[in-house]
Amino acid sequence: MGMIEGIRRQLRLRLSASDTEQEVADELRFHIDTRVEELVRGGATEAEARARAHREFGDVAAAQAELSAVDRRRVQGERRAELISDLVQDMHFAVRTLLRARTFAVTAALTLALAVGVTTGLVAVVDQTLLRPLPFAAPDELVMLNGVALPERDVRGGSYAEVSDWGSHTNSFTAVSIYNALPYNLSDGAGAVHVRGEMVSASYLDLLGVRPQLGRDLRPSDDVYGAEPVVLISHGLWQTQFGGARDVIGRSVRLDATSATIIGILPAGFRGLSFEADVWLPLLPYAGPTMAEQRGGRFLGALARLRPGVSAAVAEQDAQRAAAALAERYPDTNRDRSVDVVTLRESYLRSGQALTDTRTLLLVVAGAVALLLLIAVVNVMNLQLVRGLSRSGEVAVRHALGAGRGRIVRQLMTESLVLTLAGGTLGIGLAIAGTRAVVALLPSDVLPPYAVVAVDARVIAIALTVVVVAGVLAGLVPAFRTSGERTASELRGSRSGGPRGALLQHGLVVGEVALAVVLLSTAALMVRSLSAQLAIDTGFDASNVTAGRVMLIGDAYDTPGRTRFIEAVTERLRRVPGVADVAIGSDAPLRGNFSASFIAPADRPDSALRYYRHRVTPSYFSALGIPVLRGRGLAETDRDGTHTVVVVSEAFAQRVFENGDAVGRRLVLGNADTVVVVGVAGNVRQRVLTTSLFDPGEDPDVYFAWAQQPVGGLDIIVRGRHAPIEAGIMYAVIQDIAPEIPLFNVEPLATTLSVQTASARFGSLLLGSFGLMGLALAAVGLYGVMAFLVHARRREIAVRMAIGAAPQGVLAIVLKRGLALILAGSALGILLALAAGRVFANLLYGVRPVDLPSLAAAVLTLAACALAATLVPALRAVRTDPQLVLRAE
Amino acid sequence: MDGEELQVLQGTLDVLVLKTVSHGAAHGYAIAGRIRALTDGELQIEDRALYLSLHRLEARGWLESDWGLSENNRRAKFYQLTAAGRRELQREQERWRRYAAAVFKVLDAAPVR
Repeated sequence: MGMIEGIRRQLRLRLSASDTEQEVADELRFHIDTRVEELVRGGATEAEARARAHREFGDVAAAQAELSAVDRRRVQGERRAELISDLVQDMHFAVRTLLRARTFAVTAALTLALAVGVTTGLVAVVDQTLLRPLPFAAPDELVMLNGVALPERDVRGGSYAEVSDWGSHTNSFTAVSIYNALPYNLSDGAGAVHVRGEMVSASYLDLLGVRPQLGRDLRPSDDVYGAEPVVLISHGLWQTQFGGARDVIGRSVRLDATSATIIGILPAGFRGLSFEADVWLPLLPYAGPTMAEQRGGRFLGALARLRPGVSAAVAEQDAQRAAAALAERYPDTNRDRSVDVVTLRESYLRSGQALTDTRTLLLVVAGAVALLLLIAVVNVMNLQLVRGLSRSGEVAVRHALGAGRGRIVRQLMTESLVLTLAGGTLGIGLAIAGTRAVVALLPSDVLPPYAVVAVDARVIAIALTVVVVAGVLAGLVPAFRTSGERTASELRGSRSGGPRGALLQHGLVVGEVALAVVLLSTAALMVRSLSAQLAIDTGFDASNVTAGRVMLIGDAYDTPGRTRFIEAVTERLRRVPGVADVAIGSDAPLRGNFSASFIAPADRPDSALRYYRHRVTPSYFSALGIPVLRGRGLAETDRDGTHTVVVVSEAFAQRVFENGDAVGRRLVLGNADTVVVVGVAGNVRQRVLTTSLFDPGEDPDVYFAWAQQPVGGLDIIVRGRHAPIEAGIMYAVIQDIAPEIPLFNVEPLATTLSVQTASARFGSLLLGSFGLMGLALAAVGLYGVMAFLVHARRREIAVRMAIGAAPQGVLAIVLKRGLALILAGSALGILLALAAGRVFANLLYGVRPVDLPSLAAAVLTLAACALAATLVPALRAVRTDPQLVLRAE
Repeated sequence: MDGEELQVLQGTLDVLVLKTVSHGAAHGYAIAGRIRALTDGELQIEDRALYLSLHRLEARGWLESDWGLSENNRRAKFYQLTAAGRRELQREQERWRRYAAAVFKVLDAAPVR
């Protein structure tokens, strides 16, 4: 029964529901018929016998239903078991085959792992930055109102009165709060700490959906000039500074110069819109009597919540209408002023350094990652196809032995899935381990402060989906191609690859080459943009310079107090061994502290222009290596009591005076004081590295003598003789001179400068490595296809060689085909790269998105690698002994 | 045999079927005949219950079936014992012997004075 047994198994496994019923019916009919036969043999008539047989058996229909039900359950169970055992068998087989084809498997899995790892990391970043809701109540309703100056809509902020009017003269917002993030010195008698604070309205916490965990919220009556100054503090500050004492409510602390009462403690985890604040306070009790009414001094942001159902666009029209009415009513202060409404998320994404447009950067990186993933998938697909051909014999044998096409497709798919899952798991592992490291490389301003990037369950789930889709994609085409091979011809051994297969493969290689060109040219653009940024003449010498900031505020720091402080600090620091020069000023370059005002030539008071104001000690120019081009620098003799003098930047001189002839000329300040220009200094990139000072949109710089404008917010600038001095030395000196003044933001200027190019460096690094990965993948893909091509045509090649063709001729045939693919891919890649370039034009500096050198570099690098990938199999083909090939066929 | 036929106890039929099939592959009609012959017709076994038992035992993997030709040259479904079925039969036989012996010990005990 053995042979029958085997076939029977095969048959039985294919039983459907109707088949089981038929079997049961047959079985019972046999029973009845046999009984009838027996009875007839015993002498009964056929009819009698049948009636008796049925009587004896009972209800045949009921029995049939009952038996069918039992059988159906059995068959289902067997089918399930079969499916599982098939799957186990498939997996087992897949793993075994893959282990045998180790080079193939390792290449495919590693390339996938790289691509999946990169994808997973990116998914984590995008998820945190763009997708997750902000951690505030109904965050989609939150918007920022930005006061802007027309016509360029530069964001300048709003005044207190203006922000109030934006709220009361519109219908689109449920509430509007001022918002201004500021640093403070906080002291409670024991010592001082530097804290970040937010200046807000009474509606602020309610707008964000937060309540104090202890004490009370701000009330409108707290935000009045002359009211007792109050402050709310963070949970963290409460714990670290006050030991979590409950009686801290009502306690008095000093914020800069003002004594304030703590009225509330905010819940743990809440750090305000800035995600770094420790204190929250109203504005008016801390400001002068005119603050509530004055309109011209604009330094406030504004947070608002949209009324339900009102869009940001509608609200913006509403607010701009209100702004236009204000401009009419207060032309002196509000002419050419308006307001923009941006969603809270948008405002996070917009802030930050120039050339760090977060959304575009993410878009470009996402695009690059998608390309890389695509190349990796195409590569696996390609490698599977190539391998499919070398194993078409195996498939044909299995086919002939009775394995259905579906079974073979399933086997091949299982192989792809095993491969991609192995690669994918490795990739996700890489991402978990590596994302933190890569994010650490990110320049601090690129990601918004709320984004804490980590690979969590949600990200892993998304990544796994990507992996499975990739696995199916990579397996589907080769599986159907391979399983569809004509069995008979395969077994006979004539392995002419069908033109359809060749076309598909060629298409894949062309695609790979094109994608790699896009990646490489993008990387080249980024690198060129970076080198252009590194080549910028900053106008100052950052090497060996360290700067730290202090706020000289409080009763002890009136003008004589401040003068004593800076004289003492300068003198003490100069005595530190290794210090070459010390200067003090309102702001050292690129540290984000600046103030602006208006100034006009004395003979043309109507043509006022906006300028950036610096108050510096005489050594500022020498300590920072800023050349004084004409006239003189500032001197110790430029002090209180002598005529106010300024040194202007070259850009200022050129813009205001003919031939830049500024020395000796007079200027009028906003308060009608006149100052005289004593010198012209070289242009310095004070604010943003990449903004040219001759750009008409960029306002120029003017340097005042600190002694004549003794402001309290100061950068202490120290140039080391051979190396930057230790931050610890600066802390110690300040601590010794003025223990109540915290020193903060201590950083070598070289670091400050490098932060400016961090975005470009990161982009270059990332896209550069993507480009190299893409290049390697494309080369592997091309190699595979060419190897296959040579294999498929080895007979033709052998015949040609046998009848005396020169090896060069044969080589040319193979190379021609490879070259055609490379050229087609490159052409397509150039087109794609040109289209992609438009997307990231605003991430580039000093290089246009359509950049011939970048494209040329990309295409040439790729062509060289691709040609090498083609040459190897071609050479191998020519070196093979034709006799061997012909005999084997 | 006149006299009343005995009802087959629940669960007893399965062991009888296993035992009967253990003598060699057989179709349902033959199995029914064999059981009747061996029990001298003392047991009343409904055909429907017998077939149900056969299919149930097959679902449990104790019997396997196959279509073949019967002695009267018709297509019939033959059952035969699997290795698992043979083990089950041994277990059941043992259980039945112990059970019957215990029952008889009580029934055959000398009357207590």
